[in-house]
Amino acid sequence: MRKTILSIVTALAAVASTLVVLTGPAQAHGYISSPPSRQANCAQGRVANCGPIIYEPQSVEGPKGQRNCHGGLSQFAQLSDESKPWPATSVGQNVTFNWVLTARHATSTWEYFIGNTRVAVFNDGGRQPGATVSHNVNLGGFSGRQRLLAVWNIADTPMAFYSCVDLQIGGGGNPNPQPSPTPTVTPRPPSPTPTVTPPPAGGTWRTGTYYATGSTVTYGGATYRCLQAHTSLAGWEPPNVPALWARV
Amino acid sequence: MKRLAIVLALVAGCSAPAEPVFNAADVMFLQMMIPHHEQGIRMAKIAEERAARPEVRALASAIRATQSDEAETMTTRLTGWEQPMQAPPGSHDAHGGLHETRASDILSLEKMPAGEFDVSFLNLLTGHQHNAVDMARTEVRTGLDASTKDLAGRIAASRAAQIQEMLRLLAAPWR
Repeated sequence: MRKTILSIVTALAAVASTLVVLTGPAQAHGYISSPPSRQANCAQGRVANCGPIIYEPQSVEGPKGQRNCHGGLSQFAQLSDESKPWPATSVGQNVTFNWVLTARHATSTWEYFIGNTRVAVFNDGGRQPGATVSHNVNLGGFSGRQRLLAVWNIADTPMAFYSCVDLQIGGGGNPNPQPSPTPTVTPRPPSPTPTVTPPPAGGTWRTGTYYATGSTVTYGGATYRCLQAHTSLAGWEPPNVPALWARV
Repeated sequence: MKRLAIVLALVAGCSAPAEPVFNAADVMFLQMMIPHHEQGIRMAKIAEERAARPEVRALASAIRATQSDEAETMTTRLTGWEQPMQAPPGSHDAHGGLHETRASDILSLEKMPAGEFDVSFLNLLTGHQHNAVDMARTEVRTGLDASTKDLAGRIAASRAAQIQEMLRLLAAPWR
């Protein structure tokens, strides 16, 4: 147990020190979460072998004026690799793009491109954005599979943040875009559906599993009883989260 | 005198109280992470009340419970080290406060129209947890106290897993 934690810590430390060498101290940040951008698909584990972007999907920051998915950063070059099996989200002509922001920089504009066409621009006039940002964009008649590039232009630096979103654009205006089937990507973790029957008593604890209150698991040779229904996650191992598990 | 006390304790067969071994990075991590946790707990409480999707409510509820425990552990440790709960004003301002989740952001969740709540909450908390991962990884790299570094490693892992879960929920709209 302790060994596991130590090895995780060691691994994280190794990753962290690598990233510091590559990117310098943490800067500021944002990306499109839905429909999922390429970096969101990487961070979610839906697309494999993405490189260090999985740790910081918010950090695709490069000089303004670029038209690539990786902001010109070599460590994130996988984001522009068109041979990767990027899942495309099925959408209509009107799409709401939602951003995760981890720092709210004063903003000049948010631009959306398909190919060389700028399909939308939102001018914030140097204001600081809210904690979350969403834009409704009309895709201007484009159809079929398209790679949309979103650019967040910062007002008081020469930098911008880049997010590419793969879309399968159908007709009509579907207000609730659904993800398309994604046969080529890594399997998703099981959905947390509260109606699932509790795992059999004494099963071994696993991540991505829904545990009902009162169900029991074994972990590290001990048995634990679930105190609060939840879907298990790495870092929520029973001995580490007394709020969720009591040793029997 | 102190040495004598330790020797006496050893002679008496008791373990002398260990001198705390920690550095400035450990202290700053705890000082920053405790209020960051409290903000996360406030957001999660609102989501337990307001989220439409049962999975979002369950996730929020588990986050509130686990972060409350962690906040207590961290507060006890900082107090045990006889360190102030807050860093001197201005010592964390390298980013001009841009990385903070503001109280007004959390309040805005209360007023959010019901139809927009889940998406706004998930995006807000995802950004918040990205910043937790950054702080925790800094502690793993620069801290000294083993148990605080262990905690930071678990925070980095569990927040990364929460982000994955929230991105999955965002990518699969509820019908």
